[in-house]
Amino acid sequence: MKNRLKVLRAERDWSQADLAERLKVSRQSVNAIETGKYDPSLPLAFKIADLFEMAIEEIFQRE
Amino acid sequence: MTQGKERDRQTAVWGGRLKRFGAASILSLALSIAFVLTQDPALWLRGWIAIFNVALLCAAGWSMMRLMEVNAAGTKASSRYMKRMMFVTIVYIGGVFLAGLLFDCYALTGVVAVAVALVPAAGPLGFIWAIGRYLLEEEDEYVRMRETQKFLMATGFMMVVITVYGFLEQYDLVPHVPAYYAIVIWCLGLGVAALFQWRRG
Repeated sequence: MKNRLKVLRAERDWSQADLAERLKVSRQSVNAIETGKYDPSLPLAFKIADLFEMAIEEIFQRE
Repeated sequence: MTQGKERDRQTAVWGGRLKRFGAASILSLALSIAFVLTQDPALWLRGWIAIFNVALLCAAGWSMMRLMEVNAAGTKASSRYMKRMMFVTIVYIGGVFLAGLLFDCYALTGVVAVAVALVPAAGPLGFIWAIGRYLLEEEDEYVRMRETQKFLMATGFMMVVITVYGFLEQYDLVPHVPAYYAIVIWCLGLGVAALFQWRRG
């Protein structure tokens, strides 16, 4: 799955650690999601979407 | 001093301590095992050797925990897990020492002998409990998945090793090894799994 997390984070000038803190996850998790090594669960995907005030499909897309 | 510079400084301090205490622990454990097996020292000396090794292991564990905290690399659950593991290690070495002392000093028989023989088992059992608690308490799904993968790989490694060794032992091709070594092999498997994950990124 592709995602726009890195771009969205950069637009807000947040570091991976900042985003991790807002999502209450580890920095490794943010890094793994951003680099496509890990696809988040549905609850975490909703949390990410809520944080960026977007729909899930605007952040995550099929390869 | 900026936050970043302070973090770099703390990383260097705790990273250095981890390297030194880690290397000292490995060297000390290897020398201690060789000394105990070849010299068969008095019980009081074995006790002090055990205490010295536990202190070194705890220092290495503490340094690793601080390093992870400084870099926000660990989660709260992993920090609790490491503290429990340090406690369990102390209980284990203490248990081995106590059981050895009691069997050397008294002619234990029956239920008492069984109970004392099981005292060292408290450590490994506590270790298994700590792993279970950690998996239940870990709230970070990615970290939990990585750790679960590691535990599964270690379990597979242990099963392969004990199955192969068991058949070799069955036909007297290798010496007998006590069954409790299964957990030692599992821990080795954990190391192999960590290396595998590190290589894969």
